[in-house]
Amino acid sequence: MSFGKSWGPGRGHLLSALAILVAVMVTGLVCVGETTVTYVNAQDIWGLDPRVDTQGTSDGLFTNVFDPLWRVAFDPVRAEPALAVSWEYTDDVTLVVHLRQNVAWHDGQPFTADDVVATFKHLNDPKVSRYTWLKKVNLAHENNVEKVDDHTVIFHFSAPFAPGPLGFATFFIQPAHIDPAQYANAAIGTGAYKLVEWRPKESIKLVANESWWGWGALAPREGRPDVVYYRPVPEDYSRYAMLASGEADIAGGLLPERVPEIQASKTMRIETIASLRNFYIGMNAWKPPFDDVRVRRALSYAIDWQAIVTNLLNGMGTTHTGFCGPSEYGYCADCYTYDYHYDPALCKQLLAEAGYPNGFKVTFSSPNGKYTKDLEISQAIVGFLQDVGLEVEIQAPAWTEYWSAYTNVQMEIFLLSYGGIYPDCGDRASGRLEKGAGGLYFNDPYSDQLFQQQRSTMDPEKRSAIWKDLNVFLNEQAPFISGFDGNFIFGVQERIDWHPIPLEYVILWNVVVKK
Amino acid sequence: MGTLVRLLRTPKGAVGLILVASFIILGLLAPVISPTNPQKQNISLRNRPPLFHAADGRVYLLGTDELGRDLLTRTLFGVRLSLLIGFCAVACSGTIGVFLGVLSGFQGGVIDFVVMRAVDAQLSIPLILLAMMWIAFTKPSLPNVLAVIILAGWVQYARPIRAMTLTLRSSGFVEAAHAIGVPRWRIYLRHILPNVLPLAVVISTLQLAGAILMEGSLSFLGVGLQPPAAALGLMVNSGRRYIDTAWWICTFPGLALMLIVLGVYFMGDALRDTLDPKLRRLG
Amino acid sequence: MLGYLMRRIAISVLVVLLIAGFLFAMLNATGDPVLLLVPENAPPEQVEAVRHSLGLDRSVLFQFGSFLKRLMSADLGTSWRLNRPVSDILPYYIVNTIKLTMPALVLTTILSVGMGLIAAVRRNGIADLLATLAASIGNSMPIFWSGILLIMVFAVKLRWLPAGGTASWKSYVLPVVSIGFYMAASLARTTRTSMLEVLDADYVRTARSKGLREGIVILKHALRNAALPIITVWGAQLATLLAGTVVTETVFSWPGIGRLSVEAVMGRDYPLTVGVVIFFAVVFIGVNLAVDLTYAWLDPRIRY
Repeated sequence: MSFGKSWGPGRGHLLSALAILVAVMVTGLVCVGETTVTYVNAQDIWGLDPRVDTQGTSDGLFTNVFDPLWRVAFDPVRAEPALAVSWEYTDDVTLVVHLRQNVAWHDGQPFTADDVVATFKHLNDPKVSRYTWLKKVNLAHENNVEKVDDHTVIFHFSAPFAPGPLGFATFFIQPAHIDPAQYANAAIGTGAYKLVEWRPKESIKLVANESWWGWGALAPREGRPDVVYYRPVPEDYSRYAMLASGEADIAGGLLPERVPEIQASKTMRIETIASLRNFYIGMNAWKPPFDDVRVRRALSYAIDWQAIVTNLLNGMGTTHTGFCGPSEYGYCADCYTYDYHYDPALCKQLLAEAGYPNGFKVTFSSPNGKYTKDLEISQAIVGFLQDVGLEVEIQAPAWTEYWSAYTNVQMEIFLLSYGGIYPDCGDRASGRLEKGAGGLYFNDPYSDQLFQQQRSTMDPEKRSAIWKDLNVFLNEQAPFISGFDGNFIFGVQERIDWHPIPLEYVILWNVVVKK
Repeated sequence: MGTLVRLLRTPKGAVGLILVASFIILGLLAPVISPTNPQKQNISLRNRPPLFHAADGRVYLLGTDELGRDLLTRTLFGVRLSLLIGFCAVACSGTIGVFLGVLSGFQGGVIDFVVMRAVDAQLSIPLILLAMMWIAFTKPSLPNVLAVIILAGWVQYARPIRAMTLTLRSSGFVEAAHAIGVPRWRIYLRHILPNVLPLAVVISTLQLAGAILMEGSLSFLGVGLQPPAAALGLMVNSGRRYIDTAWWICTFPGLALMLIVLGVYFMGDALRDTLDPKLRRLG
Repeated sequence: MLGYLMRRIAISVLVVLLIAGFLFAMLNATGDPVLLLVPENAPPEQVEAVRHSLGLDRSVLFQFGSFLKRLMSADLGTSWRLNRPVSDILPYYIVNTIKLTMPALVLTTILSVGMGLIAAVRRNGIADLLATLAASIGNSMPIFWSGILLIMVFAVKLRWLPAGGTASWKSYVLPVVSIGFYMAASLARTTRTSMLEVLDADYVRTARSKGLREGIVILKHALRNAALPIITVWGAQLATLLAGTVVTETVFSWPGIGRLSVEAVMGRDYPLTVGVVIFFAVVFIGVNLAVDLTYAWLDPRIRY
């Protein structure tokens, strides 16, 4: 090292050299001490107020910043206490919740029952997006939450809500001491990470909240990242590229084709899990030919879903013919009268019996770029429909046009997916089949009544019996053709230890940076 | 004919003409020379590489695409559809643009003001937003994609054609014709139109390439042609996500697209040189 | 000059109004946006509440009136989707797009003037062919293809440059090259043509006959005069260039106005759409006015 030579013997130089040396060491220390994790996915948040932004991916981000009363946890499915420590039903419509003590907001204020009351008061506003969820759980009315003392509240339901606490695990508690009009400007939560900077469409910076109540209780602080950057990257290849080049530690929404590549690499691996998002073919039961249950039943035999999952998704999906997944409450495979499976000959025969020996002409609507490979899957489906004699024209507009046609019940037959927020059949089936709750293309007074009953029957056994009847009826009606539950596919750097859950969440206190 | 010969004499003109002509022939013959039906899909044979030998003895010269369709067939039909879009768009937008440009330049007054403000307004709305709005309230389909491209194209003609008409109007021969009482429509047909046509042809070459590329951009934004149509831009777009796992899906249609556009550009440059009287003198 | 300026501005206001009316009609023709702004399976009272809060339950005429009134007072309203004033949202994205397009413009100028010069001086030779080839390749490949190729080569395989973001100067390289080449092609062609015309002009011949070196003739006399049509193309191309930025910004995850505008239109966010379009119109009109004034400045023969 000929350090001295170029710097010269001058005293001033020596001092500045020392100063620089110290500065370098300090920065070095800071850099070494801080663990940073970057994760990328397709969507950006719409804003900082979780009442307004209800995208699944945003929930997945907000859950790190805000705490709900409890979270949905898996294996086994349960409500995991967060800001609530315990709760009990005093009757079918009254739920007493005991809140966690010594919890502080990111700005230092203490968390109390007032915050919970305020949160549910501000949610009870139809102009706020998440009101839809509040309505679903029978809490959309004044004085839905009553304060008992600083750490106890009572929920008053307008009618019994059988799925229980799981059904409202995505209501993030927001501070009472801040005017709701300001929620959009700063995300003040009680969560594990503070949201310190949002650069729209570029990055969100999160910093660990050292005084989070969950450190120790839910996860040790050690090994968890100090700083996390979330980056919305719309192109799936770019997300993969960022992972491959080391810019990202976790990349979501990858194509199944990338799996072998990533698995072959020594520095990255694949983490995948079956999601609660069911891809299905909807049929307009109000118009011919789909108003004829025989046609709907016939087409339930037309599509080789396994071939689609195997070839198009590299096996990254689970096919099932039920109205919800095998892991969900209410699933009942042996209740089915008809065992729908791929049988084109049977399909043709049934179509002929229904009066369509030569098939019919139909327009198939498909989303275009909303879900992984949606248009490809639709084209494959159309191929199968053509094989059984249908003349199909495909219509794949941009998402808003698609959605507008869907909500206005203008489609004949379509590919769509429905994502659950908790593993309960009630949510996923009624959201597509119950009048007034999403049954736009099919509903029936009999099943509507059963849906209503299962929702208000708190006794699990009695509720199970109702679900059995529902399964039998819906299986006979064949209101839609259930395809598969898609997988979430994440690419993860080997230096990160993390596993996904069936929701679109990256829970940061479960992310461990290996030494 | 003379123009054609002159065109072939320059290296650029020759390369351009040969490229474009051969793709036109390929496109025209697509239904005849294609090995199979462009829509025939087989998902168990998807993303197979070029020269893939199937179990039934068939050889896929360029491989298969993401739905197991023969890529060679799709590319040939893609050339056909892309050229069709390009030529249709140029013919329609050219006719509208030349007509309005000449009218605006020659008549002046209110017509001129209205046409030129419409041009200003349209030029100041980014095309791509206009296209998305248009297709949002119609439906994505071939006629609507064409409509958007035509709508985008006419202004590119109207402005320069108007400027040229203005120059012509004040030139000696038009003023003379006017003075001896030649009717207006005759002046348009005999004196103005033949003189603005070369300019229109040169603009057309740029527009042709632009139209073919525009189809791709619309597909990228999800407001383009509907499957199972095979157009080059659409194919590149749906194949780009497989660029590292099945490079051939976007590469072959992409190369075809590139060569067509290059050919058209070359021809445009050469045409400009041969048609522009001022430049011709130089030659 | 001042009179001309006033007239131009008056016409510009007229054009902006024309665009606004056209936009309003177009947006209203696309149907009911409320169902796109509420969550899936929203209860009817929620749909009505949102409709009311956006003023969409009023008559179309009333809506148009209040729309114009707001426009007159330069109030662009509040974005329906992002829940923030449009005038707060826009600057961030505009600055980001400028950060991307400015270096791209510099690159484009260097590329296109260089290629245009070569092509014009060695017309119809092999150099001309190669220069056109080089200039055209950028414009004959869709950006969504060339952009991803660039990412594959430089980010994944070579690992020289990041695949996206705006973190360091390195993040700029790929999007700038991508968009620079896209713009260079049409400019190179104009430069070539203008240079061809100018090289044959009398003053160039005079300069040559005075025995000036060819390089000086080209740079000093020819290029200066060819600058006029080149600048015009710049102005006219501005709006079409957005097509390039939309795709580039998406592929390289750049937080720019192109991506924002697509989302605004796609999401039926009327206030944001109108804001973005009016912004583009004003920029376009402003730049073209500036171009015309530059004309007058560069060419003393032009007087307004």
